[in-house]
Amino acid sequence: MITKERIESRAALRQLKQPLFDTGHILTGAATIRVNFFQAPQGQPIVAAGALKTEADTNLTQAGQLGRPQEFDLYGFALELIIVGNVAETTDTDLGMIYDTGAFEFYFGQQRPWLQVPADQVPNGTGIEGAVACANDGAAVNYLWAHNGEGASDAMYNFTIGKKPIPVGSLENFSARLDWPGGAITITGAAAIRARCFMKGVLYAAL
Amino acid sequence: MSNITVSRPAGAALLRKLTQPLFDTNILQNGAAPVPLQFFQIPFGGAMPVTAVAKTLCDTNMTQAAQLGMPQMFDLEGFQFEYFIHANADLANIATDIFFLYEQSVFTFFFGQARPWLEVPLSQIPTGTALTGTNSDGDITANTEATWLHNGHASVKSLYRFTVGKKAIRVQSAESFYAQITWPNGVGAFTWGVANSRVRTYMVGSLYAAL
Repeated sequence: MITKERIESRAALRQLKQPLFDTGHILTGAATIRVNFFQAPQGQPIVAAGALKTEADTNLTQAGQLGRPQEFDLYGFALELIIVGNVAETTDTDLGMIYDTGAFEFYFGQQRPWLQVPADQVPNGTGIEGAVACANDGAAVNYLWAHNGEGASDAMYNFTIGKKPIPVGSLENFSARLDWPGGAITITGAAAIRARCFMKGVLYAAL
Repeated sequence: MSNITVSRPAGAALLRKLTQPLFDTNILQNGAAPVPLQFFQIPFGGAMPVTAVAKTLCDTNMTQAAQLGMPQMFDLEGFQFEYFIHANADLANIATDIFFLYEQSVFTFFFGQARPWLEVPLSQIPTGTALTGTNSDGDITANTEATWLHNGHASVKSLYRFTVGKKAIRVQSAESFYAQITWPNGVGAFTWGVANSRVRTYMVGSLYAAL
């Protein structure tokens, strides 16, 4: 017997200025060829055998997609590189290496790249600024709060065309990655650098 | 059996639109692992967490807990978050503290029945106006160190814009709302300075106040 597909009921959604974000680690002293974003949701390890992701690391609850009935209007990208703690003097070299030889890619649907740019094209967005004076610590204390581009809340790689955002439907696959296509890099700072990718836009959430 | 009647409609008040943020202050304890910090829950005159000193207009302009009194309304455009370090701070761990504060925390804004309307890393919420300039420290005999750090451009225009299509979010009289900062990854104690830090959240927008 032939039957018609059941028409799905439509949900009432609320527009929220809420980015999607995800965090990965660039490990120190180990070769890193790629950091994947939006593939491991909350509750999954941030790196192999690492701590489990919380809402401080990502707001994705499903791997590579939004759960039904959520939808998203994508306006652009921001990429935060976060130095953990007081930095070793090598960290400025690490940052240079990450940006100089890194590529940022965004995939949509069936692993089709929709954006491929050098990593330094994707700004940090809001970042720490100001002044520090340090006189008498007696310890090798270094500070580094660098950010790519203006430390402004509206700084992002604008992905819209004619101010029109890219719609991401429920259950549509998407992912982003920070790649080093010329070969793996090995950073030498005191700790892993946390890399956080933001998809900036409007989330349509269930009421 | 008594007669059933309908309630009397509330009278419509005349309101004046003012560019006036809502703000509230909390305490980030020095030397202690952070606990969730809530904002807009304790009004003017209520006890400040940690210090238990009564809040004044320096701390908040909320006169009711987590809501605006009738007939006030508010058009919410965005958020700012600022922190203050008191005294000349020992900066040995300032970088770790800043990392704990901004990168391991989540800023959440609740509206209505404790429904989160925004959940972002605190790093996304800029300071807004902040001290800028230069700083030099020549006295090597004492631990007189100083920091004036802020998140994002030190500009009055710097805010996490919460509007969609430039349309502000209307907060009606007596509607519940509050903001919260949590540390879901569980971080260590803050060690900056010799005193607790004051932290303040702003809801930036327009207040509709009674004449």
